[in-house]
Amino acid sequence: MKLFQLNTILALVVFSFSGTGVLGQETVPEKERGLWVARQIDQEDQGFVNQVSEATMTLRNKQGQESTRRMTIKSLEVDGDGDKSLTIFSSPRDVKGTAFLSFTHALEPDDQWLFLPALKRVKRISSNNKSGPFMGSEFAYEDISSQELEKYSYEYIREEVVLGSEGHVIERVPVDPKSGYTKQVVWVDGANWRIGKIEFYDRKGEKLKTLTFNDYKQYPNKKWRSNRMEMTNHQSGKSTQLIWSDIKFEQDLTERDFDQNALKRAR
Amino acid sequence: MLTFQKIVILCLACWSLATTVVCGEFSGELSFETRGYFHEGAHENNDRVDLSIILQPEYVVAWDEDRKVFTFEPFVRYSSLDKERSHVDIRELSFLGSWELIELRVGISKVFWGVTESQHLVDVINQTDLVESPDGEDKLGQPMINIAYVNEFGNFEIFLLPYFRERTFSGIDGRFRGSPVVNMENASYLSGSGNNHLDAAFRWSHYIDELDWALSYFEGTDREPRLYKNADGTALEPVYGLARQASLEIQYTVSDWLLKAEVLSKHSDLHGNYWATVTGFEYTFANVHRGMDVGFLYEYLYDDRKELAGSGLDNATFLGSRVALNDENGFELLVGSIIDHQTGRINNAFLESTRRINENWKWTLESNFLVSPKSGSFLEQVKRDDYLQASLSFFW
Repeated sequence: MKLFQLNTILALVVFSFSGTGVLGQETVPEKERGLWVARQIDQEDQGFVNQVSEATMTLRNKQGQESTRRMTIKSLEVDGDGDKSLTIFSSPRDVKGTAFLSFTHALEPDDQWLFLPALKRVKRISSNNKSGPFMGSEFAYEDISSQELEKYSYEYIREEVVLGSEGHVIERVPVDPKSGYTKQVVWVDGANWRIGKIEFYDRKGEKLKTLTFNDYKQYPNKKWRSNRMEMTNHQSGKSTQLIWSDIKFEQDLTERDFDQNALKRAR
Repeated sequence: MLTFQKIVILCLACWSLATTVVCGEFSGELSFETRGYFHEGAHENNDRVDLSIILQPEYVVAWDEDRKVFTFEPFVRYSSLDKERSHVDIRELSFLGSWELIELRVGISKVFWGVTESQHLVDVINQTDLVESPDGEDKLGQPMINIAYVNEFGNFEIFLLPYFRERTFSGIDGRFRGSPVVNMENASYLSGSGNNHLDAAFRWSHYIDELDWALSYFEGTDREPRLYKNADGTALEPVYGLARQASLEIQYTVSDWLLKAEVLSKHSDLHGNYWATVTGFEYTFANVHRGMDVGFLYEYLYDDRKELAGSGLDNATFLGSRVALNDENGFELLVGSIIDHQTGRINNAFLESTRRINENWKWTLESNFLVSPKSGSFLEQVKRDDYLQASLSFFW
């Protein structure tokens, strides 16, 4: 599995030197077109250096009752490995000061630590629970963790207009058997490689959730970010809205701002 | 002479200087707690209801991307049952700063060491605030200077602890006490410098892939006093000696398993030379149904002083289970019990459960049953102190 992945990645690296854009797209063999699209999304996101943003999640149940979670999320791009991220909760108020540190890896398990402010305790936790809900929301841990290319295998479905421009629909299958999904269908626009929508299929192969990306905005470093994501669970009738605000790139952050000491200082 | 008051005043002065420059954030917790005991106590401590109000505000000033943080966190409990349990403390009044390879912590603060759940064997920096809870998880603020050097080989830390905090004990009307009552006013020290002995510690912590570990060394005032009867036999008086200890903590995190061990080797003026361990695991069935996690905990507790340890935990097994619904209200339940290997009986069993009501409110249920504590242990003296506690907390 690993070898096969490496081969396809190598093929793509070679390919990406031979040119991009419409011309390149036509030269991609049909069976590698899905991976090619995923590669474009990944490359488009590279070079963000680091990002700091405020996130507000609004959880809505079937009866329409709402509850809120607020957090600050800092992430750091790491050369040759997955991103590092630090999430600091400020609401609900009883979890205020709780902080979560994650070092993502492409195929190895992620390294994760949790800071519990009441005991001032840093606890290493298992990253195995990918399919579990994040803070009681409709987002699973695997939905919010860094989307490394190697985490899925890809298949091209069709061309379709996405976010107002000619785009693509691809299917991606999680490599990790611990994933809560059998597949995800991803809609991407072909001009800026922004994801418009993802449909998630559960372990039984039934449609579980739909995530839409809205209010895209381009930042001074040319990166596009959706400022409002809506996750709807078709089976439970619950939904979660994720609003991003105050997004900042290329801040004065180093690896030292993403270690266990930083976890203890997090506010 | 350094006193706790002087340290507090000094820290407050620095803190107020800093807060004039940057604006901070005010938050905190206010709890209303009702604890009902099932029986009258064994030592004429017969009242069965303890109503408490606990206030723990926090003021934090952070700047430079959270690399510099000032924290002030006082603590107040009023207990209707026990005037010794009604107490005030400063949990945190500290500056925490980070530079390229250095982390510095100065002031009154709290530091946690350890990986296990049933007992915090190696956690030595802060004194136990025993009146808060018999599980010993609550700690008093400790004045300290803590410097960490951080590099690719891990964290290398030095702790200088200039002032010693004495353990809190229940008063005459309080529960979780033996007989006679402990008179905290008459604490004494074997060391000539009393509570001003400069205690120190060194710690190296690091991780590689799934393995996290820490090696620590501590030398100074033993956090655990020995209790001696006074001349007329009406009270116990705490005596604090000196101690040296080395400890190791290790955790291996692999798929759904957390394998944990804490090992302590201690040389104490008053408790002799001994070693002790807590070794075990936690296994979690993740997302079994609608996001629910069910975990199982097993820990083996050993203390080579045997019965002399007095805790009743010298050769015992801890079994526990944790259920987290991971729903919007964050419902959690933890049940556990400690079984003695010698008697084959359950020492005690406990339950803790919490659920959020809304953004600001939360309830907690807690219970502890001293089922059949080992004879001669401290738990035997408090075996009539089974309780059920409900609390309602407001967070802002």
